[in-house]
Amino acid sequence: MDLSVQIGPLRLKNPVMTASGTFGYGLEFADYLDLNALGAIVVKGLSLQPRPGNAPPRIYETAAGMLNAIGLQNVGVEEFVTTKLPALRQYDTPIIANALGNTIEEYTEVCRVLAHTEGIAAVEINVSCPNVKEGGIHFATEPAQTGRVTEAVRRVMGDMPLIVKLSPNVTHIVPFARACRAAGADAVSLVNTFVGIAIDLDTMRPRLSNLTGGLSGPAIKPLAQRLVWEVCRDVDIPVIGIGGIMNATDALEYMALGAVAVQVGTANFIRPDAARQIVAGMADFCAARGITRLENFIGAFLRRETS
Amino acid sequence: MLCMEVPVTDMQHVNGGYFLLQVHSPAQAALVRPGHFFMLGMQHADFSADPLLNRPISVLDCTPDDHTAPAAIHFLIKEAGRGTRLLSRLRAGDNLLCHGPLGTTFPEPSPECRLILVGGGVGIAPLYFCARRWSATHDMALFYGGRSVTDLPLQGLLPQTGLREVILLTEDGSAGRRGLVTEPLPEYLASNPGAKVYSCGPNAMMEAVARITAHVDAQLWVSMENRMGCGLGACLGCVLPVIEGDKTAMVRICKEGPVFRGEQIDWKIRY
Repeated sequence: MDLSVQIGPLRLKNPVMTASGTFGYGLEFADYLDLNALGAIVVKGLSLQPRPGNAPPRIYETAAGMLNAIGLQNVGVEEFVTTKLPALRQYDTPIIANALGNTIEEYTEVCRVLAHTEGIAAVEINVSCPNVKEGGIHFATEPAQTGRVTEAVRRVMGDMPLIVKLSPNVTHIVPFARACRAAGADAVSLVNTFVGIAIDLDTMRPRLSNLTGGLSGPAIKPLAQRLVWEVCRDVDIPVIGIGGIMNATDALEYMALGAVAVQVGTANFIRPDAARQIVAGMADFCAARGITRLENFIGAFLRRETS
Repeated sequence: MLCMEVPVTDMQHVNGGYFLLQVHSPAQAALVRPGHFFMLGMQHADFSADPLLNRPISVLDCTPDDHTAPAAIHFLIKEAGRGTRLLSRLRAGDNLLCHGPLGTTFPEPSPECRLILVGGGVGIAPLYFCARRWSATHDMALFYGGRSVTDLPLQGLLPQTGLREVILLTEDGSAGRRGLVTEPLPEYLASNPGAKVYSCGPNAMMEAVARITAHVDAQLWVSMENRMGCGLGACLGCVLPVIEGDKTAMVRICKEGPVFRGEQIDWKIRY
């Protein structure tokens, strides 16, 4: 049975990736699962300089989900390349670096470093972090801005595959995906977290020091799937589905809606081997349905819809 | 550390909304030391979507099921919200997702060291474990306090720790002496120079302990807590500002903690 999928120029042995910010720099999970079993590992977002992140409290659990406002705490791209990446190179799972910045120049500087680093298979740019004032979110609110940053990054990336991670906090998602395609992105990942707020009625204080945070977990799955479905239907670009994937069924729903791959996020917090279990569950599904190539299953719902 | 489903072997409700949960897990028990915590899952074989995240719970004790190897892990839990309420409904025979042991531990005291434990409320759990581990070989004392007798869920079990000196304090005088757990400390520490102090409880209590130990010849370790996402260092949700030399860094309670040197904590931060 063949679980492999193609994301632009990138071939993955299976469609299950770990979402940025939920899997550390990968090695934190090596005790819990065989990292070689994953389709790809997307590491914590990297900026040009290290960032301290937001003050606590940073997370708050809500109904079937969690709000987070970590604030892009990270060691910086140089530190990642020198101290974290070498140990990751022993695995034959593609490492996808997630890049972020406040300005187009910062995005291009980070991506320039990554594009020239051995052991990085692709870069995913985060144009959509909701939790820092200058976290790139302004690049996510207008398709033209998303296009500008994508184009600038594309120019410094050479042949390296480029994925753009989009924000769901927009009125229409399709123009953003189109802008990414036009600017030369190889894929889009949908979606980052939904902006939310939670308050304490007794103290009238916010639950997060940042006031608002990004909502993830099963609560957002139908919202995220709607956005994935819209882009897959209307835009000719590979889509990586993200949002509330807890098991193989959730992941396969995204693929039926047209996603070529998926990212597992919050589930990693609950069961560190969740992504591995999802790969196993996909194989079981294929065996039970007589599917020999999972790639042929992609878009099964869309085809049914149009037939 | 391991993440696995293990059987619940005992559940006992104590007063004041506290309960004692026991699981059978030889593989994990073999690794447990005082100060460790586990992330306990919300429900059983499949993911429960709501509540979603595992709950960080300190280890109370680790005991052998037979006469050779440790196998039973004990937790003292206070019912405080939806997650702990679900845990309180577990019964012997249920399976529980158990991820751990996690975090840093209280340092193993040197043989001649005098160890003073200062606990408040449910913060007694890791200190009880210290007492069980080291009371036979070390000169130890426990100061244990709460608002009222119902905030001292373990007082009935304290004789099992083998501690020779146990000083109970309650703010309303319903058990032990009347007063704050920190009140007798300055005098006690002054007459026991060079002691190590291990503390766990409300932040305000640990802050008061830190203020006292800063002025005497004593070394303080504290066990901190916070809401946690993953427990293994990935989500960066549980950080607190920790003083490292002349810098303050955002440090993960689940990984670099929960046990820290007292002087590393910036107590001014309120959250």
